[in-house]
Amino acid sequence: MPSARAWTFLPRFVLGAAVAMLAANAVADAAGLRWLAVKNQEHLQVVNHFRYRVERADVAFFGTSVTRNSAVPAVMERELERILDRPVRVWNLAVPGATPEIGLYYTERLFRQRRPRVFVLEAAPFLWNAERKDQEGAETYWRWFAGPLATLTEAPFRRPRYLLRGVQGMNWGFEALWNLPTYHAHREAYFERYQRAPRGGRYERGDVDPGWQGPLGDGAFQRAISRVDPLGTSEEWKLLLDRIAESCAEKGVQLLLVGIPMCEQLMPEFEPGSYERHRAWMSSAAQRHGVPYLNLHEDPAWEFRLEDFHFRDLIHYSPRGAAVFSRRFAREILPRYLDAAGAGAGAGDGAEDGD
Amino acid sequence: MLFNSIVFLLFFPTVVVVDLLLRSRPPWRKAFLLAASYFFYAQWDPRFLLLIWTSTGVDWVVGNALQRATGETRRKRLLGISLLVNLGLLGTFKYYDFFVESANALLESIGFQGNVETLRLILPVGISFYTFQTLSYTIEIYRRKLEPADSLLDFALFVGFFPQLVAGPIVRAKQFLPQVARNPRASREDYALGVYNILSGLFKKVVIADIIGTDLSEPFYDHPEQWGFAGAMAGIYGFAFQLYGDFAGYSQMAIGCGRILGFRLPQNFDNPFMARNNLEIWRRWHITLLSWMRDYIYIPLGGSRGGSPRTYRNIMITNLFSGVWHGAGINFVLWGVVNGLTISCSRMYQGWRERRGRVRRDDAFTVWRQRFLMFHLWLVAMPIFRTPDLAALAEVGRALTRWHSPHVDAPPEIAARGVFLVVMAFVAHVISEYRGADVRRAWVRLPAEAQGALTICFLGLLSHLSTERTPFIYFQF
Repeated sequence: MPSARAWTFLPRFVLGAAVAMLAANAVADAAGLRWLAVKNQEHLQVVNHFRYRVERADVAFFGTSVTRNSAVPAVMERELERILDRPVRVWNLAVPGATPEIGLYYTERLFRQRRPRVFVLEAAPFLWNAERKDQEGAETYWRWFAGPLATLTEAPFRRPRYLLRGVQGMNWGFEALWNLPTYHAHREAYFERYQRAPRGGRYERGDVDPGWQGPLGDGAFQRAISRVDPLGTSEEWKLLLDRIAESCAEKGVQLLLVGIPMCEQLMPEFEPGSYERHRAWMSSAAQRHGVPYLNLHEDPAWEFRLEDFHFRDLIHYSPRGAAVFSRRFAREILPRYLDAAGAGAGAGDGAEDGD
Repeated sequence: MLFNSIVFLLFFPTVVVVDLLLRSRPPWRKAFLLAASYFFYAQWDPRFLLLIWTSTGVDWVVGNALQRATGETRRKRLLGISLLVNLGLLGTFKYYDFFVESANALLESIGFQGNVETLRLILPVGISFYTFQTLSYTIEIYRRKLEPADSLLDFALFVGFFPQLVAGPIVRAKQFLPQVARNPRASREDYALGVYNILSGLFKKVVIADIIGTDLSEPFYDHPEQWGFAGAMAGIYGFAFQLYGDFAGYSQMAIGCGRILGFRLPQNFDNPFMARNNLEIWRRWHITLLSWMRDYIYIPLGGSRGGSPRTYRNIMITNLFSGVWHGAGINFVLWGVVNGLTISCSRMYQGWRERRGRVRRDDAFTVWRQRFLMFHLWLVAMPIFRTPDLAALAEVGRALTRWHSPHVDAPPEIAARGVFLVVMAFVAHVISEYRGADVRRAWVRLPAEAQGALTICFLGLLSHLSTERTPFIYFQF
């Protein structure tokens, strides 16, 4: 009887799927693969951006998911074009879960191909966590999934164990369903439009602030992250930041260390004294390299404080927060550095010095 | 709502479960499927439901009136009403602006001021597909080859059934209405093959079409002035496979969704790049559109009856219509003309061979030589289809005529990943041609639990391989 067969097939099918999902979750968690999850697939986009696009870059952002979600290139491009009366190309190359090693890797790749006038590096405390590394593993993984040929041509295939990381993809089903209650079409459509705009789309006036305010998430996960010490003040981080700063100086790129405004509700979650330690560490790094450290979270001159509704969880911005941040950053900060950098050599116009 | 979106991941299983619960109550089941279909469509723009309802209502009334009418004049008038309403809506939304802009340009070129206002209408998703479906319904009743649907509910479900609503396959009423009346139930094999088709379609879309598009065809067609011969060839090859993966992937997912719900939708692609001649490729590519064109345009024009000149005229008209169906633009007109010419040439060549008494050879060398030539003949028309205007097409031509990229300092790279996937897509094509049935049989034989586990593994892999969500190309048609 067809219906009986249907009733037996579907539960058995779902059972098999559920077992596979649970197994994949267990394997992924045990192997610590969280930072290679699907939501971090911007790695692929960034890699493609470097490899296959012939585009100018005036401003490039690099950081983690905070920057990825908060710096909206299309909004900034529109504001900058209005203020400077010339087209300005902004790239957001941030990668969720980025580590200092990833930062250096992408910075060097970026400077080999393009020389932006201004390079904005995220300098918020809970980011760049020194415990989250394994750059080699991450890169091998992304290269492998970016295509077998890319792997064969760019990196020796040394560690077959990274193949196992493919199972992390199975997390997707659970994650997607788990996140559905907070899923909102506006958010997706918004980022779809703005993140894609630099590839040929156009930003329209009046599209800012789609008006969505998601509830501030539970934040247990973010609290866990923020408690991790040493909050990006390690010796290793220092060396990597030094190399990024030296690369910028060598290429004549204006480096900006930007402490992105954080949600006030997150602040009590930091270990006592750790935020202050991070701030002092970052200030000294900026002083050492003679680059500006813009602590937009605290500096009253910038008046950049955001409200809770500008965040979708304790760390990441909502679309509305991203629009506000991007607009104000483009209006109040970038023009002065673009003007200063523009007075120098003609960087950013695609006439790079290559490899 | 895209088939490859998270929302659909929630929507479709819900529909399947509720559909299962309502199977013993056919009217409720049909009503639910119809409501789900309208909900699916409304995710793009609920306003355009009015167009579907108009088309459904008019053709339902006309179909019944045609059945009752006895006089030939009255029947012709009724059919005329259906054609006028359906083609009127299609023409207004899809072609009005194109004709006005073309007329303005023509007037300006001869010294007049062309200032006729365009309407700037948004093209409703799927209008070309469901318009052709409803037209086939009234035409078949007019030809007395079809009885009207039993109820408005059945007919509305035929027009709006969500798997095929926005991008085909173009289902005929005589294929779908008997299934609706039968209240079909999916067998175990239907479920297994439904899942197989969805996964296979997703692979074509997410891996083949999207990645090749991102790596090869978009970088080239967005900036043809930056590339040399090799990049141009990679872009042209890439777009052929991107278009195939995109559209065949969507069709296959639609067929899979329909099958899980118990409905059989017609095949839309049959390994088109395995075609050996230009006539065969049109029996393998977008089969439902081309068979529609054959039955409602080519044959009524006289088909191949009435001598060679008339046959070639009919071929040209049909292909011109096919080109314009794809979009309002001079490139689509030109694409239709080129296809018409190549098909006519193929037909002439075959006629010439037959007259000379040449026997059709089926040895492997001949078969692959013909496939190779046919594929490259097909490629010739691809830049016309892809480029928005003649200036861009000329730029593609210039790229093909220079050996190196003009950007000597920093020439763009041809993505190795994209080239690799083109090769893999071709290999998959060959496997599908020769071993597709075996693969499907092997899948069906697997236990349901294994299918579930493999489905999750496959989805996980796809989600990793996907670059970014790209809209289906054929939604614009």
